[in-house]
Amino acid sequence: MLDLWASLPPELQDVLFALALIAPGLLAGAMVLRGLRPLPLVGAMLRRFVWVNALFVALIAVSVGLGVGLLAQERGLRQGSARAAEKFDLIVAAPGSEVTVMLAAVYLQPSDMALINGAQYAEIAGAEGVAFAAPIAFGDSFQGAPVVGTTVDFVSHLAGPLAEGRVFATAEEAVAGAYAPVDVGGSFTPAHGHGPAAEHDAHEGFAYAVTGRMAPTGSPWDRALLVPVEGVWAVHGLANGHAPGDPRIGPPFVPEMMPGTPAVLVHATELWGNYALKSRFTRGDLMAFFPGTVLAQLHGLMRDVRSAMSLMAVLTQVLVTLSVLIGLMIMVRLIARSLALLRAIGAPLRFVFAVVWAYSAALILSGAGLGLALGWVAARGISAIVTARIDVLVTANLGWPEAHLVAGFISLTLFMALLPAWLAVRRPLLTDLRT
Amino acid sequence: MTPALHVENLRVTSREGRVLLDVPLLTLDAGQSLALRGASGAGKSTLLHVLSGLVRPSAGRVVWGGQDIAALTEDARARFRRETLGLIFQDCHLFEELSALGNAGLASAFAPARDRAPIRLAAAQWLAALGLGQAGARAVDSFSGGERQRIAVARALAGGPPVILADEPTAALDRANADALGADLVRLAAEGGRMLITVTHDAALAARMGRQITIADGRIVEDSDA
Amino acid sequence: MRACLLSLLLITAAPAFAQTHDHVAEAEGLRVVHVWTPATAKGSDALFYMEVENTSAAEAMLTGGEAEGAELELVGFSYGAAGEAWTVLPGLPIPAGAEVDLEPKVLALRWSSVPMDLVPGAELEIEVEVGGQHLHAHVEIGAAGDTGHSHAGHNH
Repeated sequence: MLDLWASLPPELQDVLFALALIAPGLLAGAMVLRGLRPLPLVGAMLRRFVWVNALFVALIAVSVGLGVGLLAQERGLRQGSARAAEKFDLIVAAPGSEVTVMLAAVYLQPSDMALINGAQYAEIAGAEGVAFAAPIAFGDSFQGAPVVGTTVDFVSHLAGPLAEGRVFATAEEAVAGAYAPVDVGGSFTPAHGHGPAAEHDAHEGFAYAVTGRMAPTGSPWDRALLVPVEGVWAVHGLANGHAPGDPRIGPPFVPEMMPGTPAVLVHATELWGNYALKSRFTRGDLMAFFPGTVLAQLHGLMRDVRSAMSLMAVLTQVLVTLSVLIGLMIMVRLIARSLALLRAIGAPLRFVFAVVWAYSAALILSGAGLGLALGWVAARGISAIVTARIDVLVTANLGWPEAHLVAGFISLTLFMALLPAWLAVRRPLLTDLRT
Repeated sequence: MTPALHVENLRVTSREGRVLLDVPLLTLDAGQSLALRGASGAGKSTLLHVLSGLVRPSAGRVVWGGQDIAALTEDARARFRRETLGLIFQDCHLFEELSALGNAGLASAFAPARDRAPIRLAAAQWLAALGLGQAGARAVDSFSGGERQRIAVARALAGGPPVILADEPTAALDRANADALGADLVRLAAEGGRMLITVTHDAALAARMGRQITIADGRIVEDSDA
Repeated sequence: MRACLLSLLLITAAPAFAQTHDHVAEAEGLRVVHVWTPATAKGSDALFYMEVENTSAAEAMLTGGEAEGAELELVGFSYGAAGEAWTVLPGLPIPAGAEVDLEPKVLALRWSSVPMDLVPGAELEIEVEVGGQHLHAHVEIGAAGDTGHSHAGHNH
């Protein structure tokens, strides 16, 4: 049986799991409603207490929306951060914390880091199977946007063909990220450092001219200004990696003339090459790692948090529904006279039971449906805010986990709705008829 | 076929043991009409509720056409009411969000599938017979008191019951409406050969009935047939 | 012809005398150390991790392996918006004097749809194909959530 399940395509597994979750509730409904036609009457009752019902639906919708929105948001954030790291095959840096280097090189959250020297860089760039090894030299900024020194290869690898203009050709030119604060044709003088402590006049007298703009990547690099690494070295008063008087930019660098770089992105010629290179450069004086691996490990650590979050989402929804059902039990008193009339004129108890259950089910299903829509809107809204805050494109869409959550919720609560229905048919007929 | 009513050694007592109703014998033939009269709290409504199966007696038999409904389960009594009785209440008990036709054909909601269309058709016909033929689609909250009670009468008749039980059907109406409704009720019952039992304080309505019984302290103290 | 047969015998016999330690399989300057896998349910894919050392004078190619007659594929990990994925690699060259770590979320030998439950403490042997050698290695089966070999860091 397990083998059969495992052999099914994941999409079919998701569909079947959702059906399995919702089936008990629907089955209960089918049994309750079999052969009966309570809906016109239920519709009339719902209209009669429209504001109370709207409140109940809103309560369920908010709780479902919160659960759905949170789950979708968490997944969106996870996928967004993973997408942002996709282009960063292998990072080589001086030994230290992989997380720190990943945050700095992939997400442009710079920290003080030891540098890879010219000889080490030359060894990496010259290793067998290396297509290119791009320095990633960060530390400067302009109007809050990181200014990163690198090579033409890196620009092409990160964002493909430019959306506008051309790539930098001299140490004084720059390429802007898709949403960077300088337009093509504009120029800027970088500040030394980042944030409030940045020294804005440290590089006075030096300016980069922006010659091109990258296509969006969905990563913090969209706000960055990419410059030739030679430019970064030059504005800091260092050698520019080439022989004196040599105006070229990009590798190869003269090891003795290369001031160093905090990180190098390595791209291999073959698929397996990255794994071989990782092994090769994992050694005492260098650290090589896949940002994808570090991110997957971090996300793996969060799996328990995610499970707890899902459980809390379900629990919140069940609690809200429980309070709605308690409200419904109270509400049954409001419709007790109508129910008593039905019984008086000969309605079977099963019909009265079906009316109350269908009444609850209508509220639950409307609330769940509205909750899904609310969750989607909330996830979209929060995604936009998160994207603006961390510059990682977060696109939260509703997926199967949310469908499963809502299916399970509907099933459970449709079962819980049997309780007020059962209580309704146990009420004293004559007393209710006289109220 | 219209069942005859045979009540025997009927007693209804309260939880405290007080006798609410004590009827040694009451019979009524099919097609007869009967007015139950008496002061408030005398027990006439209780008798009507026992006859309709809404209240189970403490003792005795309530036999409709050979079937003792006091011995039936709640669902069986509901079925008996659905198939045999048309009930009319003092307060019309209408579903405010349904139309006049929706209320008159209410029984179609829970009737067996084969009976649903005939009930709705009959409901429309009874509304027409009661002067509300053009107003079937209107919400009932737009009707006057007299019209609302006519809708309730149409509802009671829509299932084609052989017996109509009415509890103060004209009490909430003004004189003119009460007279008109009373006349219609008696006429429609007679035309269909239906048995009509009504609890009423209204002497004019009672006078339209073939037989009158007065109840005091749960006992029959006067019977026009006796 | 005789020389060929002798060579073949030597090659096939090599693993038999290569087992010097429970955690080590060694032949012709190639060593496989600390082979382990997390507990895996029947029908799921098992991933084997290990350290492979090439102390020979020539590059050796790590290509895969075998377990209970089934093929073990060399797979590399990747992570992106679509989630985690393991991609089959044709082989991984290990330069002379170098070492490759097959570790979680990086590199592994994959046994697809294992025919039995791999439970902690159970005995399992696999063959690792490296440099044309079939190194027989004992596998330590750890708990499902384990991230390393119990002897990781020991110098055998």
